[in-house]
Amino acid sequence: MESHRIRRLLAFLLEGGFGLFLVLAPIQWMDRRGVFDIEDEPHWRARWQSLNALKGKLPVDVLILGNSHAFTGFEPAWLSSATDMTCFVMGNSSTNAVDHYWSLRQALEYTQPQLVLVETTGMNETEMVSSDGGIGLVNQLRAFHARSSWALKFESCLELFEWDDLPAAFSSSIMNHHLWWTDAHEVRQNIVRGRARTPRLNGVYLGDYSRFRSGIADTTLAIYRERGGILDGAKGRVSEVSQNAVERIVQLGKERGFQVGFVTLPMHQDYLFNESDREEHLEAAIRPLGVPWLNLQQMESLTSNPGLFENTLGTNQHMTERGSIAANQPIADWIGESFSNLRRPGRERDALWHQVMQVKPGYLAYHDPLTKENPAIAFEKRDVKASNRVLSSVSVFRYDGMSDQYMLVYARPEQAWFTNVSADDLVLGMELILRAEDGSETAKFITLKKSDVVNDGERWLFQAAVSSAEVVDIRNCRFIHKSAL
Amino acid sequence: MHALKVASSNLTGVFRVIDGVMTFNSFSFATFMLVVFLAYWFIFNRKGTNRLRNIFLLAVSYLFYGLWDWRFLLLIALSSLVDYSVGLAIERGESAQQKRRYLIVSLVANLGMLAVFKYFDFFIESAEELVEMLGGTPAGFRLNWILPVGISFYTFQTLSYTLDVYRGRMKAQRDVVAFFAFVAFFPQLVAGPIERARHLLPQFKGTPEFDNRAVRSGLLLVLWGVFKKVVIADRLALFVNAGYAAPEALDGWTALLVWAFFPWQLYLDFSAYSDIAIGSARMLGFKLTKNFNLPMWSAGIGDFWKRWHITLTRWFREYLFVPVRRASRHRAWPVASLMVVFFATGLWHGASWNFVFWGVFCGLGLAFVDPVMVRFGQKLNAPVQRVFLTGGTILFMYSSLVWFRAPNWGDAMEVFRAFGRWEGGWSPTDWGLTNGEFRLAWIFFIVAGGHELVMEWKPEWEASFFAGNGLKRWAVAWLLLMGLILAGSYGLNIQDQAFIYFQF
Repeated sequence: MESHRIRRLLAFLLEGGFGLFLVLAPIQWMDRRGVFDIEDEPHWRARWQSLNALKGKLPVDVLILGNSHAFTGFEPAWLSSATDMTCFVMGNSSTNAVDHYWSLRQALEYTQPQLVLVETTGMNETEMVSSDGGIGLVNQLRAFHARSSWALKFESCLELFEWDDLPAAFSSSIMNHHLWWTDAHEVRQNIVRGRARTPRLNGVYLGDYSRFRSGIADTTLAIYRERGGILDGAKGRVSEVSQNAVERIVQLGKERGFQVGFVTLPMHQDYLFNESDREEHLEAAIRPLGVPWLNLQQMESLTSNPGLFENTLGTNQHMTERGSIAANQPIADWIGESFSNLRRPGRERDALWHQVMQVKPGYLAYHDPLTKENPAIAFEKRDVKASNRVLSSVSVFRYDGMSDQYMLVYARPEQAWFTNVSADDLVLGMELILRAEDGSETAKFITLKKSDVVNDGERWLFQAAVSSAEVVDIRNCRFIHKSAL
Repeated sequence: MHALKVASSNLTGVFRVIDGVMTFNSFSFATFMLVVFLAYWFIFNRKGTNRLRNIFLLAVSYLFYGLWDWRFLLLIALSSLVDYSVGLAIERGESAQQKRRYLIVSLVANLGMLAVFKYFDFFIESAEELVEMLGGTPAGFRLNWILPVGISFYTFQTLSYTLDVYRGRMKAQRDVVAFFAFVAFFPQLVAGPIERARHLLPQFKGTPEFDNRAVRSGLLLVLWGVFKKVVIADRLALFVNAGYAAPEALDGWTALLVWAFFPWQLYLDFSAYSDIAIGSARMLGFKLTKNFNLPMWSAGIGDFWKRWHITLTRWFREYLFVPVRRASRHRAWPVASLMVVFFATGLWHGASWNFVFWGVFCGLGLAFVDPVMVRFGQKLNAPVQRVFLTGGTILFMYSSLVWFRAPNWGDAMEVFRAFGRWEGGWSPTDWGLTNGEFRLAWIFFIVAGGHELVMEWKPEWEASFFAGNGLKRWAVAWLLLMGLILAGSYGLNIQDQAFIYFQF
């Protein structure tokens, strides 16, 4: 009788299991074909795709973990050029340190970095990002979907999501099922395509995304001052789960042979109030780990400059593109000082590294152009006379960004030249000879200004951004005192 | 209990992530039900293990309820203990007077609990408004206690037990575990059906056989319930909620849609809960009472109340209307009894004058409008009569539910006033829905209404459709699940809708 009962039960379960298969199989089929894919933010998958592409070709030396602050605040190409290493940002919007840990675990299946930097904005009071719902959950799910290892997904899912969100975590069809009544056109396109979307990578992609071009407006700054700030640093506690996650990152470093450091990217000093409280919270969380920590919030030269920060009244302030370039040098210096035993490709020793990096913005801020042809260089002139000196090169770099295109003109005079006059008081004037479509040539006078954020200890960087055009020559190059302009 | 809570919150894995609300339309509940189902049939429900089975059911029911708020387990345990003791005391009572005293203990304990948790602040607030109107200064005292989920349901269920024992309709339950499990039985604990003790309690005796057919039909009922809730009711809710959030902005068309959609949302939402409750219980070998019988196409207001929330209506009829009616033979008493019942029905639904008004309005409709409708209808030929009666019921009941849904009297009247504003264009996007979403709302609204209509005209249709091989049942189950997954109004950036009757 008992065995009869068990048999009936098992038969029912078998039937149920078959029924479940009939439901899950088409869902899985739709997931694989990307029927409910959304193409609004390709960077989620692009990072993993790029990391995979770099595997075995160009080792990632510095892996930067974080959320949107990391992928907007770090300039991996500039940092790579400044440190002579390959820096890669693995940032996922709205995530906290728990996601950073699991991203690192996944990344270690692609690469073996020498140094892992954790941007500390993700070390916050959040216990579980997804429990807040809304965009935080969406982003956490996207980050989860983008990771490839099913074993790691199963291992991490209960730590990252509430039970009710697991179906959406494991199926993009479930997550984005609303598309067929909110954007049926996109679903039709996906069906026609017949496979999941793969982001198009324009050269080597190092994980940076979304650039804020303009800084804080005067009116916004006035509101910060009137309100006494927007973001309260006193609320910046580090939750137990975040603390636990960064401890595991450090532990993983010991086990897998990479070093770990923490970087706090800054916010404007009038935006963030009770900053010392936030610093205390972070200090209490990081110091016991015994690893270096760079708190850029302490650099007044950065935090007092409105041009370096996003113009926002929201509860999150990112750095602008200019800000991230400004932060680049102190980060590079700190890496050099705090992790001096890192192995670097070196300026002349790794031809492949130079070949890859020469097409990235920032490369020419730290290096002369390679003698080989650089596809990113629109024009280059060597041994250019400027006043009584000879510049080894003046280069016009073609910037081909996701949303805009322009040219950057670089020149790198030696610091030793400027003994009687400060380089800050000078600009480098020159005429760009431009050729129009009809073959006629015109001269355009431009001035390159000295960068106040790039300093490799040997040369200054003078640069200017100009509209895209065909450059055929550079003439009349000379240093001009600003007062003469 | 505190230690249990702390321990559970410290646990990693399932218990930590499902700590919080576990509604019937959640993945948590599906998981919970699967685990309970397997453990129940494989381990705890065996011949000769009746006590073990009841302990298991009590434990999982308390876990289910405790995940909402463990503190309210004390209330349900107290209510169970009082009624268990009172039941025994009544049975042992030597005189009618003594039995009545024991019954009063149960009434005071249960209704007192309800009064304190649900109505105290409402009565105080109302009294203070009166004091203010008379020129006095109110003290402003409030308890501000959270309303324990399901309190209105389980107090009525346990009351039915003591009342039945008092009336000699059933014997007192001696098995304390069975009684506690009966009060807390998780499928119907939070929003009914409100079971009569003499129907449900005996089912905690013995151990049911695993019936493949019953389990399958229970599962299908659960799927149908979740589909109704997530795909249809919650989709209508998006529109209804937007409309009632800004009634002053409603125009005639929108008001008409809001007026028509809400009764269906309410019905589909609540009947979905009942379906899931009945289906889940059936999967564990229990039979719960049907709570709805196609009320949306009722032929008369009286007919509507025979089909809508059947277990509550029957409770009020059996334990309130009949005793009050018997108390006097005066000609006015039937109407007075009816008004008492509907006043109580309104108040049962919520501590608000809107609900009270809704109840009284329904009572008046039943006492005065319904007889007129029926008398007039009798003069018409059969098909026209049916259309007239059903149309009249829709008009009356849908309108009454405006007071049920609106947060206050002013907003309810604003919805009615909107019927005078017909100018201007109209777009669902003005009310937070995409055109695609709105089309879906309509499609499913018609599907639900059509299904009810077919069932009303040909009640035998469903049985004949599913007769024969199980392929159709499989196909329906598959369609329901796929529809639920791909067309459900759930997920990211969509506010999850709790079951409406949870608030009562």
